[in-house]
Amino acid sequence: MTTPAERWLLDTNVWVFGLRRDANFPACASLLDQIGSFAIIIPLQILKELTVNLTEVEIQDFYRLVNSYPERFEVSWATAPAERVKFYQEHGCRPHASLVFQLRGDGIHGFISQKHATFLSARTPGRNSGRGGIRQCWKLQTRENSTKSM
Amino acid sequence: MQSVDELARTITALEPAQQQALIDKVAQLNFQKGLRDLADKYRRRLLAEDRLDVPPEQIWSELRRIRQEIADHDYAG
Repeated sequence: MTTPAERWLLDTNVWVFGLRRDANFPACASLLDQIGSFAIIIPLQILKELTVNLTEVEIQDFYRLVNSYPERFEVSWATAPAERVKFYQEHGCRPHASLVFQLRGDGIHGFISQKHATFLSARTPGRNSGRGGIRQCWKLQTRENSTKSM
Repeated sequence: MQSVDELARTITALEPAQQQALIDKVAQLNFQKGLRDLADKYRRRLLAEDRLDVPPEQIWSELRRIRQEIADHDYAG
C-alpha cells in the first residue's frame, strides 16, 4: 500500500528563484529538487504568474513536465468562489494574496513561499487543523538552506 | 551496464511493491532531469538578456507587480 504524498503549494517566487538557481535563495532550488518526495498543487494564479515570467517555449516545457508527472502534480484551473474571496477580503487579506482564495482547502498540507507567507496562518483562524484546513505555513529563510515554521 | 532485456528481467523478479517504488523513482528522476533542463534554458535566456544577475529587489518588485495585476483583473470588485 502506498502512502499518499503530502500536497504543497509553492509560491511563484519559489519557482522563479529556484529555476534561476539564485544564490541568494538556495532553499528554493533545493525545494524544487525535492519534488517527488511531496506532491504539488498549482492554482490558476500561480500558473498565470509563471506564464508571465517564462517564455512560450519555457512554459510549454513546464506544462510538459507537469503533465509527465501526474502522480505528483495537480493543476487547479478553478477560480475561487466569490463568497470566499469576500470573506478573506473582509478579514483584511491583501489583494495580492488572492491566490490563497483558490485553495480548495481539502488535503492541502501547506503553502511555501520565500516571502508573503504570514497571511495564510494569520488569515485562516480556526482552519489550521483537520480536514479542510491549511495545517502549516512555511517561509523559506533568506540565504539559508533551512526552512522556518511561521 | 545491463542490457534492456536483462534489466527487464531483474525488474520483473522484484516484488510488486518494489516494482512500484522503482517506477515512482524513475518518474521522479525523469521529472528532476526535465526541471534541471528547464532551469538551464531559463538561465541561458536570462543571461542572454543580461537579466540573470539583476538584484533580488528588482525581481521581488516585478513579482509583486504581476501578482497585483492578475489579482486586480481576476478579483476586481
